[in-house]
Amino acid sequence: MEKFNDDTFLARWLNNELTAEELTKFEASEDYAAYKKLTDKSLLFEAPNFDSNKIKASIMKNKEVAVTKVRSLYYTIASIAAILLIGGLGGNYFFSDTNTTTTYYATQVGERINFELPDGSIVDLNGMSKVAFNPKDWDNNIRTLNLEGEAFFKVQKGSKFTVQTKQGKVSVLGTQFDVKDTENYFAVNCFEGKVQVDKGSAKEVLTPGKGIQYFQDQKDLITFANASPFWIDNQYKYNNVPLQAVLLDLQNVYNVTIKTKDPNKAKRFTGNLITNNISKALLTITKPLNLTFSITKDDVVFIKENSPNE
Amino acid sequence: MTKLKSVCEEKNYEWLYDTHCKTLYNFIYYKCGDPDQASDLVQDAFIKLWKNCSKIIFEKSKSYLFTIAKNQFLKEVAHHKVKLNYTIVGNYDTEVAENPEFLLEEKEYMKTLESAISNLTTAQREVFLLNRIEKKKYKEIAEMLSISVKAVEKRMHLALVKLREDLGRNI
Repeated sequence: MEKFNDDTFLARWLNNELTAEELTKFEASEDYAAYKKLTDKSLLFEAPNFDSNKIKASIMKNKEVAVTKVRSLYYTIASIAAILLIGGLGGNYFFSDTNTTTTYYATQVGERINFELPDGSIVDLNGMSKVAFNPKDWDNNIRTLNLEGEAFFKVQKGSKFTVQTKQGKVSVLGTQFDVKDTENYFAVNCFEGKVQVDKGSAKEVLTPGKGIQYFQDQKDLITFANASPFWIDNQYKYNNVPLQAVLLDLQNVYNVTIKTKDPNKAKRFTGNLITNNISKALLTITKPLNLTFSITKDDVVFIKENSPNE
Repeated sequence: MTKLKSVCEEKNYEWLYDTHCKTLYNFIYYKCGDPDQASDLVQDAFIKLWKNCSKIIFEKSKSYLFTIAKNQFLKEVAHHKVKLNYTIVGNYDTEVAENPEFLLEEKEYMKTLESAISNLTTAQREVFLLNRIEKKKYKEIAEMLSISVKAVEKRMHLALVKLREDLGRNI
């Protein structure tokens, strides 16, 4: 497959903006025919028919009807209370906020969604994660959102962009980063640009290829070479990552529930998560950590310590 | 001095609808793939425009409509497969006679292409389809999405690379 050094090359080609030299070279490449065909053939598509007169009639009929939403006093109090609370606690959670102006996205186990924020930034939300933000703030260029779980952000250039989690605040000075926030574990990886992580009173600035993880308040700095988080391509590789975080991914991949005894959560795992065979996956994770597992019929996995006399 | 056009005047409002409804509908459809949802969002956006007609400058109505519809869409996340209609063109008589498999192959290709388009990210798909089907210039798309022209070009480039990958050897 043709590799492009320039991230707008094909767009310029389509718009006849290539230099003669670029064009000649591209036309000689093996992919040219495929690109030519797909762009030509896509011209044949049409959107489904739109009955504009019917909608027009309906608009003309409905436009005079008042549709003002009645907001109860309760909501007004609730939203003010929420704002005060946030101020008081220095940024704790609005996930329980009933304010109707907040937009939520949430994923179930094993589900993954991607969506665009009002400024065009893109979020890939991993399983069992939640994002909440207020589009009104975004319209006023206050780009803040709340996250529980894990998400990958491709941020549009612009003013400050902040991700607030229970365990810390991540501010973007640049463009692509991954945040993972689960019980006791908080990790941020920066893929492009610059990211500032505020945890408690500590501040870290991450540059591309650098990450940071906090586990039970122990801090590790990470370096990596991949261009996007592994989970985006359904690959999972770990380097000294808490077992708990690995098991969370495993639950997402195989759609199972995992039960462990608490002490196991302190262990750390290095290696890959196999994504096509749950028994093999569990074996590669549990064996090196001296653990055993069992799977019940209703997809519950139990993981426990090897008893010393076995 | 010429009098400013008012959105609240019925004939101006109607003109706005007749001029922009189809593009607005397609714009939303390329995002969500649901014709009913797209119709509803068009309707909601125009009703909102009417309710706020006194506050909106006639010339700004178009971008107001797109912003309203876009934000409302973001609140209703549901995604469907984006289905597109097409007619196969070509010199049937000669081509079909010479190669009876032509029609079949052509159909297969269009089906694969349609599904590859549907698999693009929303951001890539809307840029790709607004350019290809709606014949919008990058600059116009940038205005509709309130992003830079460069960002549109990047999305377009990525969309093409992604489509090429998805189509694989199917050329």
